[in-house]
Amino acid sequence: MVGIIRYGSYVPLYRLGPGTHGWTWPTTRAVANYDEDSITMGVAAANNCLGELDRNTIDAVFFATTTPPYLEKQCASIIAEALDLRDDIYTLDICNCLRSGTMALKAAIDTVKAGTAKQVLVVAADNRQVMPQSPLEPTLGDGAAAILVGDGKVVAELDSNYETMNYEFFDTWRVSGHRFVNSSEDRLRREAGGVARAVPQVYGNLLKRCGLSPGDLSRIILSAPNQVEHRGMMAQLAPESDHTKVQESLYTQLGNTGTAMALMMLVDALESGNPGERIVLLNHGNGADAWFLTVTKEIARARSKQSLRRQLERGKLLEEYFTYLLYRGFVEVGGARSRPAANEPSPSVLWRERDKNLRLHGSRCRRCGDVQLPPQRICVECHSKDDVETYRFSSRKGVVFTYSLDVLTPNPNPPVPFVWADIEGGGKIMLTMTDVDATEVRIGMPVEFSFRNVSGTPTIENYYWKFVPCIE
Amino acid sequence: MVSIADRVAVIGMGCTKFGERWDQSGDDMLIDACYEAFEDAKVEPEAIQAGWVAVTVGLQGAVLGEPLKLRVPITRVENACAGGTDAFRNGCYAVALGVYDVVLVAGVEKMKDMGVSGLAGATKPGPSSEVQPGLQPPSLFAMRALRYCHQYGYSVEQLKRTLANIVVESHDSGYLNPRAHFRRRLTIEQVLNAPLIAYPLGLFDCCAVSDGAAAAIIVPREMAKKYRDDYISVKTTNIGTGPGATRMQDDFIHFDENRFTAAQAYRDAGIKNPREEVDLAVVHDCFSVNQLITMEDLGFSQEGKAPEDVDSGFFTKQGGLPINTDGGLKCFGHPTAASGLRMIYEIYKQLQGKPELPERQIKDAKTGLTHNLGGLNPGSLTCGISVFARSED
Repeated sequence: MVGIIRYGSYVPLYRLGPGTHGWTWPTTRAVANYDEDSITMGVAAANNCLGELDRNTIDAVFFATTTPPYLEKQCASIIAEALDLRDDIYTLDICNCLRSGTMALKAAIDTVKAGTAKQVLVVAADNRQVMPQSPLEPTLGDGAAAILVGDGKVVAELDSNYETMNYEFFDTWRVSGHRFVNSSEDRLRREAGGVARAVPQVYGNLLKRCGLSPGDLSRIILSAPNQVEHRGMMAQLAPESDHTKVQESLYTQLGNTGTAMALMMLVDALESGNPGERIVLLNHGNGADAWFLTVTKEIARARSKQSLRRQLERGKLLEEYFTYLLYRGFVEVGGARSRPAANEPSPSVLWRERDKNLRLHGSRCRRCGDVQLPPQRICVECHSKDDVETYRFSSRKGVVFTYSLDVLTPNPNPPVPFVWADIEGGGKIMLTMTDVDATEVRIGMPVEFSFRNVSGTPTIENYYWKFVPCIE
Repeated sequence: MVSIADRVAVIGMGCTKFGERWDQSGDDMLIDACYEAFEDAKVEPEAIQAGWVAVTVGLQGAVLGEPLKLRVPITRVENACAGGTDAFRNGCYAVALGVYDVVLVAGVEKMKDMGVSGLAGATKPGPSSEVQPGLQPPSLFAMRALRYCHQYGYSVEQLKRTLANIVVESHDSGYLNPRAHFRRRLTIEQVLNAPLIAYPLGLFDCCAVSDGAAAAIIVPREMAKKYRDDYISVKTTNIGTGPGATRMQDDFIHFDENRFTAAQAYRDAGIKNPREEVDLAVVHDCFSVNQLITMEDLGFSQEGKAPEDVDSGFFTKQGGLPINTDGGLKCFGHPTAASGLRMIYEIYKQLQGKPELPERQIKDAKTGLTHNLGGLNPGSLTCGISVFARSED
């Protein structure tokens, strides 16, 4: 039976909410750090999803987003590199539609059923671009989810229990070349929008196809544009008299994370799911998708190391709304002292260094066992030449050995912590640290690796790893 | 390997004023430094048989040959902040071997043409992936400071106070040096309250970024008396480096590069107890904490004990082993490739009894040491150490 093998999510650390100076709304939204984007958040969710699974067993990556950092260069292949997957796999970007997450899920299920892949990783992420101070601003959030689809010991059976409908209605959209999301009038959307018209249709068709009545369901999950539309549709589909549980919406804590929303809510449901539960997942965006799934007894086996709820709990409020504007690039600020301009990265150097920069490979000398990160050809201990095995370090934890808080390096959040850490299993590397207050950095602090956007010039999206504090 | 002890003598030196020399090019400063050396040695430019010049931003030996209009073999030497010592070393080995009898060695750097405040870049020149900002030099040494505290049980506040003692003494020496970039006395409080540059180091823990040039004329020691009685003899001049790739044993406090090079230098110079036998030293105080650590790496203090020696005044001009009596990199300034030679200039003048202001004279100075350290990556820094003695005949 084809279904979900593993699942995971990623919620960025920072929040805008009551308590942020300059934030006038009563709700909270999760916002990406200055060094995060859809690709980096997708990688984080995927690492949460995959855990210690052998990366060589993944045969495809489908990346769903409406905010790809590149318009003409694939994003899924960058994600595949960062996850250290094989290079002969099928990578696909599925863009442009807020429903892309469940569209990618269908493509994954179909691929596995067709037999052209055994395991397909679906990643959905969005970094919502909303005009500051607009009414939409408090409703949108950033985040990612990852679902590994396969056959065999699944934690939730999906098979082809799916219905879809295209619906040409302008609920939320963005024209190419424009930065901000547009939205039609609330009252029109509530009357005639995708949630109002397409969702009930696909829901009805799905129940019919699967021979189910509403009372048979344990849970309904709905991704809607906002709290009001969610509540309205749930009142219609799951009235109080039924015992069907409505999966909690996260609009007031997380915000609507666009393409990632439906799959993040699914991950949230699975993280508290029990064997035998029957769940319907409803997604909207240019129409609607509906999925029926059954939770199996394997469900507890594959829980990710970082639940969505734990990530929501650890959120840190930004002190100033201005900081968000700065991190998003809405304002440009100069440094205190004149500094040299950033250099263009060299494409040939980026190409030669892709294993150590994107896959975070290190090496171990076969002769004497000395571990080096990044990898070295000549061993510093025994002087062997080209006698090393290289492997991925990105799941390993480290401990801060020493650090500095640098004021001179240009950065939106100075001072920059430069950290040397001892890595478990061997190796010592210096990286900058992010998602941390500089004053919190300590010798002995446990750290882990996080994939981040480190672009210094506008012509290339550059990626590398940074340390973040270990999430307990 | 053989020692070149007492095979080479320095018979003349020059050194420009270091500072923000907006109106002077690198060429101008080289001319000034070299001609001061010619006058000091009473040697004509035509007598020079070969040259070595250190500069980090430049091309070819023409850096020296063009402004001075020389027609001799000249090599440009680059070894980051230790380039000055390395140029001197190359010249000395050629003289010791007997290939040349009169050699000009110079170092120059024009830091203030970069157009930035502070240091311009902390990455290797050339194309890069740019995935990580280069580690700024203050941060490189700040990491050592934090590890020093952790290892030897000092609080950051205690260490900062000791470092402030070092800085205040350097500023006192800079005040007494008309060629220094910074000539202002400071108090401990001013140093402690300075804005942070790389925690825990503050503005006054960081050396000056300066323009400057320095030069030396060297001859075989058996010919030195023809030029002057008070020539200075080279006991040793050497550099050392390391493999760079991080060794797990690196304690991130001390530099192996310093220790290897110092051991070799003492062996060549016949020094068994450096703390007793060295009369004064000019060391690489790019950051105050590096001066502290260098005291231990050179064997002037026991490991973990340098703060006690600093706080007791042992390393002041009145103490048992004066350090950086010309203001050091901190106050004299740090034009990268010139600094190694400026350090030698101070030892040269002190051993001859001729510092510009007699108040800086260290009494009974017979043996002087320079320590020069350059590079970006801990483990592969270049350490240059030279030891000099007064002429004995």
